[in-house]
Amino acid sequence: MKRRTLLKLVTLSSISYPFSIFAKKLNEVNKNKHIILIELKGGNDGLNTIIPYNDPLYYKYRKNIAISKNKVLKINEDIAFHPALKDLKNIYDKKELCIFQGLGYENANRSHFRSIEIWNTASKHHEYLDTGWIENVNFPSTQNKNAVVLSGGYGPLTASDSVIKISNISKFLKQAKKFGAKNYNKSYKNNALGHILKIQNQIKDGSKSLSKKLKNAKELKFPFKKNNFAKQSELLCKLINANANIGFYKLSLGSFDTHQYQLKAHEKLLHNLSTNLNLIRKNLLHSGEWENTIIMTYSEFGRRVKINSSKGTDHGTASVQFVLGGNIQGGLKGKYPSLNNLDDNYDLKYTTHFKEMYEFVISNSFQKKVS
Amino acid sequence: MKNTLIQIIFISVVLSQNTFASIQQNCKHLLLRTSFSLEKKELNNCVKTKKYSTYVKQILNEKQLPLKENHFDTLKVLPKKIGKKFHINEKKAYRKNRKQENKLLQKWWLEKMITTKDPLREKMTLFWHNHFTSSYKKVKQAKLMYNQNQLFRKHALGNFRSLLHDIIKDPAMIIYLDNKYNKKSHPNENLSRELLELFTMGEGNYNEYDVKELARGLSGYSIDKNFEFKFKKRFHDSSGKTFFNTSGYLDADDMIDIILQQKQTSVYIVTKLYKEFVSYTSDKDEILRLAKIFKEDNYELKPLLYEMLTSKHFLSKNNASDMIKSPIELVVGTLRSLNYTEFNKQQALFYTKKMNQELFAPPNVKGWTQGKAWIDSSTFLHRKDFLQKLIRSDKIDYALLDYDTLSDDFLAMTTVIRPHKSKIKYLNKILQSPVYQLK
Repeated sequence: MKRRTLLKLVTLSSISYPFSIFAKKLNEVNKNKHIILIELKGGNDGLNTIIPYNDPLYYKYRKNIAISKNKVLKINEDIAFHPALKDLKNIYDKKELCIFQGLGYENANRSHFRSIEIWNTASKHHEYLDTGWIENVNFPSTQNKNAVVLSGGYGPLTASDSVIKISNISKFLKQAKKFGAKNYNKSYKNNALGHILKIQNQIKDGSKSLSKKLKNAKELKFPFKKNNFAKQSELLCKLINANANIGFYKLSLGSFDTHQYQLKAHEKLLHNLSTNLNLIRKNLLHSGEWENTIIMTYSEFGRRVKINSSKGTDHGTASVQFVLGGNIQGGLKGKYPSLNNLDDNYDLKYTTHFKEMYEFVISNSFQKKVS
Repeated sequence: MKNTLIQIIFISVVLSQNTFASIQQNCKHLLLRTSFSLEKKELNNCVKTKKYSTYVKQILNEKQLPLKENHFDTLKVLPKKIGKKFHINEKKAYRKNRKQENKLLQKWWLEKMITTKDPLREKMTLFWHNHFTSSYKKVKQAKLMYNQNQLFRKHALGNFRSLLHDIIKDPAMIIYLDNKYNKKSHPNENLSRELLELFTMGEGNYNEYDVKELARGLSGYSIDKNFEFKFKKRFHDSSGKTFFNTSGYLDADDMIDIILQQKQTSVYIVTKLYKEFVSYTSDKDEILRLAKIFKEDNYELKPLLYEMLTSKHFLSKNNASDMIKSPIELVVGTLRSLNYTEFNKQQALFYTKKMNQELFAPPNVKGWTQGKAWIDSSTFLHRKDFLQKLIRSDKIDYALLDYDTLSDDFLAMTTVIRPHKSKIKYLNKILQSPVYQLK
């Protein structure tokens, strides 16, 4: 009930936005939650991810990059998963995956940088904020505020005081050892130097606690492949299983900026996403951490409805995102945008504000167990 | 001995806080920002001119030497071997060859930066590479990336208008931002959008209509089968357009001139240069002053840079040593000041990549984010690692380094570092100091 009220509030006032997770103290739960943010870099094509396979307009606009009706994995009479998302379809059928449809925001910006900034900071389209949206959430005291970025920029974790970036864990720990014991004090007039000293302290503190925890970490039950996203996913599972005092993780996969020859490249990316999310789930189920885990994908925008001349798609607006975890009620959220009612730029009109997904992720993490 | 040194350092801290900047200090600051490193010889050259502005003029007017013939001048664009008619082995060999050429290209530029006598030109070449971004990862042909790089070098300190007209006809750019697919019947907005957003005016100063009109103007600006620029008339949308209140049968070159009439364009470019040379925090009035000069001088870069580098903002104490060296500056600069030109270039390139700056491969069309973003918990460790690895080499001629002034010769800011009796260990402490990351 409570959750529903929150969401209702959100939908009603999309202009001045009361972001209740920023204002309200969340429920105290007695476990640390693993909140995982996966950036689909470059703007993922929602139309070819969750496909409106019964809409003739889809085939009209998408021509040679449309996914044919007999290949898609059907959800209902209207929409279907891309065939490369077989594993996600299974998780959806287990009711552990939500599909957020038509996510976007008012006055959509089609620049990668500006648009991802809006998603990262949860700002309005004309507002410039410096901190990631996670930083502004009023978390309960049980939630660990430490964050690890496994790939890409800091994104929603920007300006956090306790975030570290790790690309290769063993190297990270080895190099961090050389730093010596003393912490530097931060009060410097020189901004650049102040920043360096802050990073230096983060490395020292982070590495100390990580190396202790990882010492006793077990090998994963279900091994990952060796590509970049698989490696990120692997380290993610290891850190969660090692109980490493981390609350937030950011991963990234890309590039979804498919201006040309989209079909193959996009299929490969979706397959990579789907298989690794499945392995993450299996490993965390095995270790018993899946019910404390919630995963969210996000991307700066979807893509243009009509294909361009190079068998690809240009920057668009609304798109689809996934949320999955061991303690959520899966299903469809929001409304699929109409191909019949495009904006002036022939782009999709968003139906659901992206902040509703953020709201869902955070409030669900701190709900009583969903049965 | 140790005590006296600390005392001297202490005194110089006090002095530098109370006196106006000496020519020595101005020169040091200038070198840190415009060349890759503090080289003693250059510092002396600057101080010897007696007048700081004379030296600024001198480095801006360094004569552009004809480029030495190199491998890439004669290299041909690799013929495509990706169609169905090619055997798998042919394709493999082609890919391998392409990979090697890209590596050679990176090595070539790195070497050039380490050995050049005109570092400002190389720094500006890098600046334009980061402004008009293209990446070998998409362009794929080393020869085209090389040609683009030479274009930047040629215009490095020349005229922004000419550079802009040339860059929209540059094959690597046309490939990188998909303009070869931009046809009258099927417009592709990629180059048009980035041209307005990142290359000239900046976000918020144009609208979606302008993007569409410019895309029409750019249609047909393409390449032929030999990867050379070709204006394909039949793909060009030659009908009337309206762009920033001007109507007519405009093509992209006309539209670029219209963009350059907008005051915002000069403000945008000057802001970027200000953040490169002066400070990460821009000063609005100073930028407007410089932008006016830039526009009135028909977008000539030398007069603008002269004004910028001799301004009180540039020489202000508040802006001194408050910037972070880019990975290229750190690696190239350290090798230059240690006179260690023999360092394994492949390894140097490996390190700059780990520090998030791979030459010819900026992460996206916005280029590398300069400033604090260079240093995070991952890149910082690689920076330290590189410096440590470097210093272990027996190929460095330590006799060339002056023990008594070692800290001042390497650090942007006077810093108390307790000397070690071994020169190498003392140098290591200096290079490992957080202050060494500053410029």
